[in-house]
Amino acid sequence: MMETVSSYQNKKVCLLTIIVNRGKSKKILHSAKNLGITRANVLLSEGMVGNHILKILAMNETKKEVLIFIIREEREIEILDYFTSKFHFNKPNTGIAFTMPIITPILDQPQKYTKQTAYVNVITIINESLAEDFVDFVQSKGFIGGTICKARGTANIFNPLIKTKAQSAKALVMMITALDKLETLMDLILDKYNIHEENTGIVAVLPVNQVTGLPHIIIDNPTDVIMKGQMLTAIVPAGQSEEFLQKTKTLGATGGTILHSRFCNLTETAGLFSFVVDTEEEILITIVNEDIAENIQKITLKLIFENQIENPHAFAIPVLQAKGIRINNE
Amino acid sequence: MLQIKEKFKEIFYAVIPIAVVVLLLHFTITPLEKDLLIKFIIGTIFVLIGMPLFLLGVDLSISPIGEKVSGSLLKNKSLWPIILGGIIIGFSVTIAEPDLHILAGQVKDITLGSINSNLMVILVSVGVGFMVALALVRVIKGIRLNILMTAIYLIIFALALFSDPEFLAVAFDASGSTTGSISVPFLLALSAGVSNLTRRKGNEQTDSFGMLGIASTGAIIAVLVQGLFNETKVSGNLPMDVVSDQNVFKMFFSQIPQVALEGLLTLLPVIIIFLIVNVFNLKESKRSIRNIMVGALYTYIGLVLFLAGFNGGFIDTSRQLGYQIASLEKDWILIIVGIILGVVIIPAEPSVRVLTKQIEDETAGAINSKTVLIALCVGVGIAVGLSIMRITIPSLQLWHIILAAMIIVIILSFIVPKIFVGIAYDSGGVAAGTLTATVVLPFAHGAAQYIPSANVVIDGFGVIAIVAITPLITIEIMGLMYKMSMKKQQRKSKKIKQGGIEV
Repeated sequence: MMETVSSYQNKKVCLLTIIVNRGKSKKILHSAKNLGITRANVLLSEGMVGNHILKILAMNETKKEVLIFIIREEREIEILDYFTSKFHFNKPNTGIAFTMPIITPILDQPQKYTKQTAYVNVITIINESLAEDFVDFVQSKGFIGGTICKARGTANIFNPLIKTKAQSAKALVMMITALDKLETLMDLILDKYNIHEENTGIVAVLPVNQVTGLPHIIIDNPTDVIMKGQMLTAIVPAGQSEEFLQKTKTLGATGGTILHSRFCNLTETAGLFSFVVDTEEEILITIVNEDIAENIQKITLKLIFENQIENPHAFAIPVLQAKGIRINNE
Repeated sequence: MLQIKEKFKEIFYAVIPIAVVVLLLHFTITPLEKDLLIKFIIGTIFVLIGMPLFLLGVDLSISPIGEKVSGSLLKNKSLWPIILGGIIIGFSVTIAEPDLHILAGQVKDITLGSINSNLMVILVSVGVGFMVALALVRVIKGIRLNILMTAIYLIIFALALFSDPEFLAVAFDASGSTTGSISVPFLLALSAGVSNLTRRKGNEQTDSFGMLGIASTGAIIAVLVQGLFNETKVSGNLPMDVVSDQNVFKMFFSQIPQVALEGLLTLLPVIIIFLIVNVFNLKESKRSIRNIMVGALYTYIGLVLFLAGFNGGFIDTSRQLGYQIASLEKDWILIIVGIILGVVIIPAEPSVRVLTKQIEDETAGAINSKTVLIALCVGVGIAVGLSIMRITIPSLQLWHIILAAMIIVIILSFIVPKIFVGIAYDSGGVAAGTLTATVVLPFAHGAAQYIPSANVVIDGFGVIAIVAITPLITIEIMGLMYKMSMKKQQRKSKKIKQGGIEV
């Protein structure tokens, strides 16, 4: 069983994310298959167009799809270039693609630093009803983009009606921002949504290795920056997230966010009487401070393999800044 | 791409096939009168403009309202307010449904007045109200849909034993008439909202489908119960429509005020529910209230346009097609054209669009909306074929078809994955919508008018019933195929057992 775990160790991998208009994923998945990629997770999301007239007409919403692949770091540039040239991501309104570093799960030496990058991915997790207002607000302050993924929160909120703890409707908003604008954006978000207070939301800043579809920025002398935490990500079959969360909670995490996705098995081909079935998978993310990150990571992995879940995936993404994480007092 | 642009494109590809079929028939076997053809083309244009606007409006207003209402219902600490809320919601969206009033009026006529039409509308609305409440309780308590629906079907069987078989058709038609273009998205969103807010350990996956299916059985039970206490011998006749010699354009546009009023009445309950909930419970941002109001306006304009298009342009054309094809006296042509019409109308049915979108959203696209659409097309194609066969073959009775279908549905509901059971039960009321009423029904009426052994009234009733039950089977069969394909895939991946990351 540990052999499978070791396959993580030996390869340096990164997370490739592609955001395109709804319906385009089919073509991208087909190309990914040709590149030798064997699996992908697709999330449905929404975007907003900044056009003022459309906003007044309430017609500024666009439907998007977010595709997630795990690729080897040595192929990062090759794969990104391939998608960029094939789908013209360098032209406006075609989509964007970016990669984020992944901390290889079980290292002998715990990783403390990560490379400085020109762009960062600012993730905000807030109540679903606020998500569109949020993007509207940030766009009105001159920022562009903002992709909304529906999510479910699993903080310990007791629901008297069903006499147990129920999940709540959340949204995860992704914004790719240049490093020099980060501070302005963070101030805006923290102020407007009182992230410092409990149960208002979480903002986390993740490094972005490479990005296409946005202006190219080169940093002179990139230095290593200290990680403030990790975003632990486990991709599990639908309906099994809570089980994992229970265990991570005992180690000090206070909650997690579940993103709904479909898993596309790119090794399958349709038969005469059967079709390729995409299954529902949940992407469970838990943002934790560095001090407890390592333990949780190990436990999550162990759990996945103990439960012998098919095609398990668990990895962690370094977090440069995190605001709004509750400290578990239990 | 912008939502509105995408919707225009989507609807264009959905509506054009209907126009192509009608035009093909016009140029080959059944040349239509010029006036009729002009009306049909104007109707199609109205639909092409109205439907995208309507669907955008639904996304902006009706669905969010459903979600918000579910949110405020679930703030209650006990079940009773939720049950009461469910009854009020189900009652008010049903009583406003114009199709139900038309059906009730027809029932009064054919039973020579022994069935009180106003009482029927009220009973059906109460029935749907109770069933909406039951559906809410089901989601909250996590009761399995297949067990609940089997129990409800058994009650219907028992009631049907004491009912006149011809009256049975009326009851099942009522189930199709209660779920209209506004109540479908509203109830779907309500159900999804409740399901999402009560997800918990051990019950994490979506359980949002099935409410429409449960709600429409309320109508069947209500009509059957009313029938038990009344003389239900179907013996009267329907007054036939008088065709006036007015100018085509006048005829088309003169119906618009009526449609505009009906549209307003259907939309109003949902808006009122939203306003009430808003006053008591929610602190909405100005922006979201504004968007909902703008969306409601789009919904209304779109609804009026496409209803005017379908009513004004499609009904007479379809009736004429049915009559002319029947007059060729070749049954097989009639059946084949019926099947083709059944298949091409489904993608253009607004409620179907709403359901497939909801399915995609709830499963993150794992259940492809196109696959669902294909299953529905096949189901409705078969349904229309069966309806026409029932007209041409007098010994084939409606209850034969309904009983067989219900038994298959119940058996399959214990085999296929949970989510497909919900989708299947919802698909019935969704498939039997505006287009069934404006294309399939007139087509069957037209054919029955020519065929000497057929009775326009009796054979007319039951068409909606068949359309409302066959898609259940095709959706469940699709679920079965999914299950088998998934098993095959799992076996394969177990063999390979790839761990971790590739590439």
